[in-house]
Amino acid sequence: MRILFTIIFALTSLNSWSQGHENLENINMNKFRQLKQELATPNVYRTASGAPGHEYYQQRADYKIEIELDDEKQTIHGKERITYVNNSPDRLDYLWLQLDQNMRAQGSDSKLIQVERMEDFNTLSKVHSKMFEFDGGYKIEYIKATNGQNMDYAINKTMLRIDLKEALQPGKSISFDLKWWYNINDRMKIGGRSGYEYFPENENHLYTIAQFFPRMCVYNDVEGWQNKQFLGRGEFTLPFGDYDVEIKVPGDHVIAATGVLQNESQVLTSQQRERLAQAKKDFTKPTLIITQEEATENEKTKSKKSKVWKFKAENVRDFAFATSRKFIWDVMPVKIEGKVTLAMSYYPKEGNPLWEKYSTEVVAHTLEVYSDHTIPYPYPVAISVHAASIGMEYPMICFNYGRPEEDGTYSPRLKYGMMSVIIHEVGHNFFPMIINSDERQWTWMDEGLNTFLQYVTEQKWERDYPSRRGPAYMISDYMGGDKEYISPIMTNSESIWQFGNNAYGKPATALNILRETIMGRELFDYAFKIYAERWAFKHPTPADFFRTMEDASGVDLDWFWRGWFYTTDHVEIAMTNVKWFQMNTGNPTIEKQWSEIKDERGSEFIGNQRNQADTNKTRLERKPGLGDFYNTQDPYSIETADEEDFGKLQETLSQKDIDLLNSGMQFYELNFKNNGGLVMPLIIKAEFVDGSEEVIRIPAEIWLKHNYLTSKVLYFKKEVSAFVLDPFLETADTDLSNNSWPRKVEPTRFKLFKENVTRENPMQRSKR
Amino acid sequence: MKLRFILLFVLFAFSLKLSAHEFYFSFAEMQYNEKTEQFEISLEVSGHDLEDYLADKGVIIPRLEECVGKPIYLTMIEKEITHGFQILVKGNPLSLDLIGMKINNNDQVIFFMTSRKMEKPKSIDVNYDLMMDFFSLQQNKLTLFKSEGKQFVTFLNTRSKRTIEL
Repeated sequence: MRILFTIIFALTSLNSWSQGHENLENINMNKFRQLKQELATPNVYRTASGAPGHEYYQQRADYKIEIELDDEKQTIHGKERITYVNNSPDRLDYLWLQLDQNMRAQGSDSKLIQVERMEDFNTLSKVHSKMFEFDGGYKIEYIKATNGQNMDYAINKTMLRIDLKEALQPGKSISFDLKWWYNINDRMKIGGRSGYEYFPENENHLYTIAQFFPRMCVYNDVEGWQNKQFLGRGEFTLPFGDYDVEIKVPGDHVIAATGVLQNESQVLTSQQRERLAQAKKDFTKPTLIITQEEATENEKTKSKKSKVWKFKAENVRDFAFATSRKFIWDVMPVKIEGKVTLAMSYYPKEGNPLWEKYSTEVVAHTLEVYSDHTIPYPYPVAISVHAASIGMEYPMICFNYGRPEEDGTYSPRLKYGMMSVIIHEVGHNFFPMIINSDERQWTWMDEGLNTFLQYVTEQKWERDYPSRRGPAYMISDYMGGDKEYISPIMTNSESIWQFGNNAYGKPATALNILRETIMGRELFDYAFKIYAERWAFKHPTPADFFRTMEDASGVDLDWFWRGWFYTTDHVEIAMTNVKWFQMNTGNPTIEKQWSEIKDERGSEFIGNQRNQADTNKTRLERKPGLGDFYNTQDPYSIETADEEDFGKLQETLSQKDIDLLNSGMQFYELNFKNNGGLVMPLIIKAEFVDGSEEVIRIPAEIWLKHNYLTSKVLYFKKEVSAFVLDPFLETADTDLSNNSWPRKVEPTRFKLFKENVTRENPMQRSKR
Repeated sequence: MKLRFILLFVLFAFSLKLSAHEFYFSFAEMQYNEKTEQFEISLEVSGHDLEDYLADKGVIIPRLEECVGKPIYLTMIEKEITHGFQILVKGNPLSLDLIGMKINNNDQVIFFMTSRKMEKPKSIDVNYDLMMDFFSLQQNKLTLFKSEGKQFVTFLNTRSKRTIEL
């Protein structure tokens, strides 16, 4: 007997211990365990609260650059002086620079590491594309110290190391000069974030030039020198600095660039300057500085003269520009917390009428909404440049697609696509241009956070704006199903499967869920803003974000980061069972009547029904004398003893107990199963028989002990007719068919389509 | 074994599009309708993914919105969609008709298809390799609506044909 008891006890203990533990290695695999091992140990540079530490430092790189763009040969030549300040506590024996343009060098790793199948060569155009040996790599002409002496350097693919004769000591700076040139790529043929588009009808080029000069790598407390090659996907990681840039272009070109134009009188006409001065006073609408008619005329000239445009930009991490004789230019000032920024757009006539109507307004709107959620936009300009087929961001300037048909018409799909890409790319001014994360390591830190605010901004532009990413239900198709070729968000930029969904859609959705469901808007918005304020003009890491969001909100989110960012689990919570209970009042008048109703309503075993028919008379019916008390008693009749018992019971109860027993309270035990792996809050809507509703929100911590099975008792004064789990589609549940009690049939898209057809579909019509 | 390499010659202008980011996903839903005795299918793709794919295939169409109501273009789209999503019953392909198309403002495009009338088979093979020969990362997911609940089936370029018990 004792042995048996011991065995049962042991099995019970094992079973209860294993709740929330997934493997047999006795390791804590509970989904709520803290992220201690995954995050770097806090230190004097980065605190456990997620803030910069008291000895946080970052390097600085100032640039003075002279560029000449050859519009005949599509080459760019540059001379630059870099002044690098070592704010670290470390002695630096060498300096690393990024040569991102070398990704376009012949035989670059970017091509070599492409996984290819024969299908990638199945058209002539693809073969051309694959075999196209464009040489777009840097030609470094010299690297010299300021005294004119050559410096030793070594090129490692997309990186360049300068070996210093004397180590750069902490707190000291060094200046040196570089001269270089490269061939500009045809962006429309071989792609790229930077390059040119050729317009054959008027033999013009539109250049969008970026990552075009050797730039200092980041050196910091996390990585030392940044040492990841540029392979094409993982973007950039750059220190802040001031830029002083002179750009020589054909005399009829117009330039948009990072920073503020320094020599308006030398490059703009008096009419343009006058319009610009007027534009700076009109906060209500964009003002054209160059009209479409003027730009169209300008396209026809092919000036042999040149002009030098001078720009200065302070405290930026990069510099980019666009130049063409095709540009229409409009300007509208925006005032954010007392500071005026010029929202501007540059676009060829091919962008109209869409661009003239929307681009600058969208830029202004984006600055306003993002500033509310992060920090006030700090730069003097924000520019959107029309560039076919791409969306790409740089400080104060971005290149965006959105080209209407030749007849000037456009679909709503194109309109919203263009507006969304402008919001997104202008939004990148905040992530990562100001909140300067390491894009080459973590795409989601800029793309995910930015896509989240993009959604917020879109919804403030127009009610029911057709956002593509953000709401929870939009990511559920991606997250469900089998996980081959899906990566956790916390995956290096170059190794991500499904880039768009992984680095943009899923983190944006996760943040939306935090804001709407887990934390609430007030806590989330406060913490998110604190993160932006803490890390503006600094280099945050994922841990700094995770920690700040928890520290500023007082919400332990380790389970959420773990599930959503470190795994490919998905949300699939099923409401497996609902049991209904009512309180036994002890009152025989109520309880016996209730029993009678319940018995009448109950289903009857089929054998009973058949026995009634098969058996003419039972023995007892034939011989009534065999009956006794139990054969004649009415189980639903109220006997004296029942009333006496009830009276005694009443004497033992307080008035509070009696009130509770008489309250008519209805109890429901709801059982849930976590099929997808991600623990999430339970949002339950109770629908009552009287037509009213109530929503109950249970935090995700209900899964704390058992991560896969849980139950909850809900009680109401009214009878429930139905329960719905996740009624507002806020958890990204991939299967809604098991979210209802009683079960509801989930309609297919096809059924909805058929139900929505009120007239003949144009396609059916065309097929007749 | 002689390896044959067939190079398809394409005679039209090549246009490389890099619209924002490709989605590399298509999602289909399928249900056997007991009343009509037909399979009903809806299939969602990203509009710009599909346009790039069709351009690469040499299927010259105007923007998708302008294809609605124009049989010449719809037939071309239907051919590509039904080539990339095939149902096989006992090894024989089941012909699917495109009966509708919906274009959302957020670039989601949904195609609606039905099969011919037939008795509900015990199992089917589904070949769902739509766009996989163009986007190497393409994943396609099918949600099957059954009386006992949903079934999710994922198709990858390493596993584009799946047998499904109905």
